[in-house]
Amino acid sequence: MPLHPSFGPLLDALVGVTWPARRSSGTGAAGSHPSRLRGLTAEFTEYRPYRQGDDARRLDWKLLARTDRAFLRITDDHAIRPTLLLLDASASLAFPETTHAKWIQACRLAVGLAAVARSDGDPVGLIIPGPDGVLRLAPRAHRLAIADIARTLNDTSPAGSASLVAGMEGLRPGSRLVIISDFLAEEAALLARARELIVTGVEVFALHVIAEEERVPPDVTRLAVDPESPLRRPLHDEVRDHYMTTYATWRSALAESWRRAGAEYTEVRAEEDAAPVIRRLVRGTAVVEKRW
Amino acid sequence: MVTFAAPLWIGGAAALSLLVVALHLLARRRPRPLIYPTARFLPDQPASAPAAARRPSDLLLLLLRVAIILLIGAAFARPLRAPPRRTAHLVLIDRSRAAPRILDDSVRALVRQASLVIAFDTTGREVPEATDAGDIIRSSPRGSLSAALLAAVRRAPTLAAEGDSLALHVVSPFAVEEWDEATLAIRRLWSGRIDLHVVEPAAPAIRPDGGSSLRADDPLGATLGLIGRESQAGARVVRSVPIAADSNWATAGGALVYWPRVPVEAPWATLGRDTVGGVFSGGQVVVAPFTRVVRPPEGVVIARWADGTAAATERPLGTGCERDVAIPTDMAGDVMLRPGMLALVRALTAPCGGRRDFVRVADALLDSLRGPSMLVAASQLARPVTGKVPANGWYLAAAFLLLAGEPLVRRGRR
Repeated sequence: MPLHPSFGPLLDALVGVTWPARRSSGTGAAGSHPSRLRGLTAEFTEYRPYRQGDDARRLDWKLLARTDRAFLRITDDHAIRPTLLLLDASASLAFPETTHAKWIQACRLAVGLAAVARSDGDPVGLIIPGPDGVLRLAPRAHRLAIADIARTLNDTSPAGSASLVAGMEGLRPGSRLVIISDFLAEEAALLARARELIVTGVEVFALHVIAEEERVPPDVTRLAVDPESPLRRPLHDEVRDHYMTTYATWRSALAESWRRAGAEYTEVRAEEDAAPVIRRLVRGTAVVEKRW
Repeated sequence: MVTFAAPLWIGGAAALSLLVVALHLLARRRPRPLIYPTARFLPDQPASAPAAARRPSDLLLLLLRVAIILLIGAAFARPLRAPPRRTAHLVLIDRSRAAPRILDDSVRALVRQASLVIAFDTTGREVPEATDAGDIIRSSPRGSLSAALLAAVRRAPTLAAEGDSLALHVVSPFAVEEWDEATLAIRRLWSGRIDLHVVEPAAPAIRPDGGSSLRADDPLGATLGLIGRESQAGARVVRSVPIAADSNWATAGGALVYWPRVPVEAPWATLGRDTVGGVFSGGQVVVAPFTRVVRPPEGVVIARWADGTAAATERPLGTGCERDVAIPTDMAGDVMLRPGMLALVRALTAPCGGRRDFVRVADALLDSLRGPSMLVAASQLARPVTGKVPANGWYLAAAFLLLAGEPLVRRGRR
């Protein structure tokens, strides 16, 4: 099945882009990301005096023989970072009604990030919670993984409401979770779960997709209807400023809370080009922690 | 042209319609829905708010509501068809025995243009439309101008819608027998002019000679002899059961009087023998101890005993009549010769239908009957209580029909 026509240029624009991990990985499988484990690879880094409890196999026996001092041979280890894309496919993503720009942007971000992650050799999976259950594509590093993700997205239409929190189960430490949503539902629960995952060593990225019509409401008088609840409120000139202020305040608070929790929060406009967004996103994630 | 009996209702309905239009334009409107995921950031306000419409919407619904109000207002305003600017003609045409059998062309033309034709004898009856004057059957009763004028006064209001003025025509020979003392008094109830069309009276009926032959010792024969032959012309008095010749004679217009010598011998219902103190007929009273033994057959009572029961009856027979008299004549003394008895016998032997007098009344009376020169204005006539009701029922029905459709239209607009 061919990829979605709009995904081709996006993938071309992301060739060569890498997505370094923000911190060392704890997983043991060999990969491109620095690992907190100091292994047996041949890539020497430095010596460290032996301390009680160190693995005797890592002693530099030749140095011990020459100098009669016990040093450990320190080498860098690299590991993979399984990347899971948690995509919000609720009805609120099908906005605006005529273009579904939010959903299309979410799909582009998902495919683009998946392609970037896979180019680093990381297995990539997809999680789409829906009203009838959670659709999961297990992380794979196979070359067809991106095509599978694209095909799944093409077959999915945003509708109803589902719990993103339910899709955040079973994540292993050292993996990477990218939440692509408009964060209009279960904010607190989502943030709390993300905080738990971050503590366990999961890298969490929060991509907040918003439409221009949401940021600046249309200059018409309408009865605004929440697609996921019975909420109905009038939208007219007198409330437009109040809305924009309230919505901007909420977005600022949302970004602050996610960043404070340790997640990488990025607000993405539905109308902007996805490739620069992805480049900007992955460029800002470098390993910053001390190795030991 | 339609006018209204209570036009204030129309004004009220129009004012209410304006109010409805204003409310329609200023109505609380629920704007069109828009799927908006961030609706929760909008302030919590009522979903609808009063707003003046720049352009009226739901024109069909607005027209429907206005039509309902106007129709109800029109129904309560009691629409009436305004009378046209013309004169309505009410024609009273004489069909009594005094009237001629054939009417001339001027009378026929008058009947054709009439809005209402009433043929009268003792009473007035409306003649159906499209009836030619020649088709009005003449009757045998005596005519009554008083009855005719009363009928005209009563029916005139029904013609108020036919024109702005009303002309009353009377076609009659105006015979003396049709005139009574109430005629002029009743005429004064008609405030306008009366056009009199005097026609020649009918030819006097040929009264066949009765040829009553009574025995010389018959007390009734003596009585008849006293009242004279002229007074009993046209009547045949028989003392035994009438035979076919008698009936044929009566059928030809004669008054056959069956007055049995001994009432109990007549084929009539017998009564217990009793005595009544008197008998009266036509204002004539005879007081005497009459012995009542039979009851005359059914018919129009022309003489009564003192207690009100029938003493003599009359039945039509062809163009004549037959009278059965149960008054005994074998009275002791001079009862049969008293003036009261003579008058009673004269009444009982009068021609059928009473005595005829087809002579035209005096011209002075006719002038009194004509009255003023002005016609009666339709506005002076009282509105008819009954008759064709204006169309307010239809207006109401149409209003309720639209009212039933209004929710469907309103639901379809949502």
